[in-house]
Amino acid sequence: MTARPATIPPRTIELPAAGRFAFLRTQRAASFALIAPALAFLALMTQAPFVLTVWYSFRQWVLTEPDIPHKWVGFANFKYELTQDPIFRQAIYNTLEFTAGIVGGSLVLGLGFALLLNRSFPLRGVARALMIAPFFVMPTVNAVVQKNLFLNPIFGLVNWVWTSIGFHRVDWLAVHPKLSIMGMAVWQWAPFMMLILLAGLQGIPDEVREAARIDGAGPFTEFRRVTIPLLGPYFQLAVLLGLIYILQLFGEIFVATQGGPGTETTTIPYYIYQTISTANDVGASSAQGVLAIIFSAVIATLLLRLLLRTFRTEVTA
Amino acid sequence: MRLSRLAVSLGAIVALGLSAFVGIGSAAHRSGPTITIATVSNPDMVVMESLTSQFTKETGIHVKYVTLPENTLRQKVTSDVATGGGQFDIATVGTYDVPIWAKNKWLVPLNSYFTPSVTKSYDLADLIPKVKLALSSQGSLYALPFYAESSMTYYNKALFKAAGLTMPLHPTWTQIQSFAAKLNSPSKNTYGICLRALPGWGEFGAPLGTVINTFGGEWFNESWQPQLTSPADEKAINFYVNLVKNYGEPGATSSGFTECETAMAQGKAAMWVDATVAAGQLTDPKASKVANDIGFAYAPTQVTPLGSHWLWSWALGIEASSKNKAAAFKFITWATSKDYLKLVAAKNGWAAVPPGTRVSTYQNPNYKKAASAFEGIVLNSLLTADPTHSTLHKVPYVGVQYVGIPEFENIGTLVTQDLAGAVAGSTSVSSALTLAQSQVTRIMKQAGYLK
Repeated sequence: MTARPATIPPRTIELPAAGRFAFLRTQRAASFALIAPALAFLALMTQAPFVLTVWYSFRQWVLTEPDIPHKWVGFANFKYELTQDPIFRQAIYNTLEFTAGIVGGSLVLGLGFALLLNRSFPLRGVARALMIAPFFVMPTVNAVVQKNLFLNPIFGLVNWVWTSIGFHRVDWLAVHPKLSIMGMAVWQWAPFMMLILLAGLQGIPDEVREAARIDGAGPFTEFRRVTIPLLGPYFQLAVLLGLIYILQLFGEIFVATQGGPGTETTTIPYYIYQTISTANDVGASSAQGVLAIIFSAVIATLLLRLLLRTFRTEVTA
Repeated sequence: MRLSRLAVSLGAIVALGLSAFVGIGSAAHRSGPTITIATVSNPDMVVMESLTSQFTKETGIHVKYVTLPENTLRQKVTSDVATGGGQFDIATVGTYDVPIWAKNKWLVPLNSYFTPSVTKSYDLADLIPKVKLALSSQGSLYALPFYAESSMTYYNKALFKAAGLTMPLHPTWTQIQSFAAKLNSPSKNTYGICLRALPGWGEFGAPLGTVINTFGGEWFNESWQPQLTSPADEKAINFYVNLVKNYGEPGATSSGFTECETAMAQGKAAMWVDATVAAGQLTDPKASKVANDIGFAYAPTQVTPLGSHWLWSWALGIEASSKNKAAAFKFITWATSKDYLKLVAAKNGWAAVPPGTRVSTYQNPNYKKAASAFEGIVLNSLLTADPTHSTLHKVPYVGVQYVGIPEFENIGTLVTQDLAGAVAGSTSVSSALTLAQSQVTRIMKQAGYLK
């Protein structure tokens, strides 16, 4: 090991050169020039699709009808979607309902599983691996299996169990389409929430728990006053990540209900897909896409603010 | 330190080596041109894909398959041709697409490729005239039929016999309804009838269209005004929805062609009115539990026989943006030729041959023997399904189970979605129809048909 020098010699500072375009000859400009190609590539790759979508949303273009002129229509597409299209407004409402239901359901279930898995018991590793498994199933595979094996009203397992208990056969996907889709998605996302919350639970030091016990807290009080507040940041993370993904829920709806009886399970992503694939309307679907982005950003911001406020007061109390 | 450097250099060598192999591999296939075909994954197309090695052996042309479900296929090929992408050489198109795409100049007219010698060797005159007409526009043929179908009634002879009922050869919808009522026993998990109610212009929309036609209704009158709330249409749609709700399979709104075929093949449904192309599968003991009990009848009629059974053909057309048109033409003539049919028969038997394209198929004694139970009905249905005369009153459109305008994809899907809500019981038929009527009127106004 070489001995460290007592003092570290100062770095030489480059003085900027003199002249009108002197800034071009500085170190900073040189570094920027070297990074510029990579930066341009990155900007193009990540922003080009979005920019094109915004561009198309201001134009009118229907693929199967070359007779309708491609022209600039300004905000006409947006105005139509927000004020006159009955399905888009229904889709917004459905998206909110699905997201709330699925995020809430998987959060509650995930918390329960995390609490259970937080104790040590024999074969805990195996149990944890099995619990995580549903998250790795692809959404479309999940939906196909659930639609044909479980929820099929003639051959399905759920109806077999249901009729064995003594109820009548139910056509789940037609009579309770929202519940069916939410069930499929909660089954898939609960492990995700469980993983995040389990990490949080295992981060709660035992001393805090012991201190609570010594102070006379029962298990419920300990849960309410110690566990939940300390899990605050993890809840925020889980909800935010879950929200981002669940707002885009598509595979289950496409495979199982195709937008549902009527428009009951038509969410924004599904409706955008329908607009571009059956109506072949590039302008309208681009406008819907832009509105979807705005919508997601608004929801995410509001929720984040709400969560921050809730957990900040809890912790300082 | 040394280990990670070793790992990095090994990884780089492997990556470069693999990319070199990929380069060599793709170069080796460059002996003949490669054409790309976009197709649906129906059983007959799967067979075509498996027999393509024969084509490559004969001509040296390599064929790359892109297999997609029908809606995705249509969307992908539409965006490809509309933007001039040139990704596909051959597209599998239906009788709905051909006139629209021909008008937009997205398909290559084939008349110039049919020189007298090609016409003779291919036997162009052997194609069933109605099918050829459905795939033509303004006198030019734009696609060659791979298979064609109409619709007919399938019924379970065992269930009928047990209930003491006989199915007439030309039933009416009223008779079908009474049969369904008698044969419907949910407690035994068998249902009177299976009918499509999966939303989609090509799913629910197809049988619904034939019911509207045969009840004397139509989609649009001569001035392009939607007729969904007219008395005849309302009667027809109410009939269909109530038939499915009362005596039909549960899960109707998720039942398309495949689901109903499964229910029929499993003996869970007593009757099924749908595409003639299912006959082969339903009578195949390997695929159907009731292969020996399947009976056949013509599609039901009511007020008029016009439009009671549909005409559809999946055909192979050459995209206008293709760069290998001659090679593509060789392929489409091979896949629809008499020799190809013989090839399929040798592999899977005559009953599995793609039906409905050539008159000679129906004169072939082997085919007649293998498909004797249904080929007569199928051929007659194909010959009498006329897309230009499928309604009681005069209409400005062509098409039996669809309306031959580009907007119909959207219209059909929206209307069937609204009606699926009625089948599921969440709305009434009349409110679904009122909503559908307003949606369709808006679309027709936007497209310029209505002022």
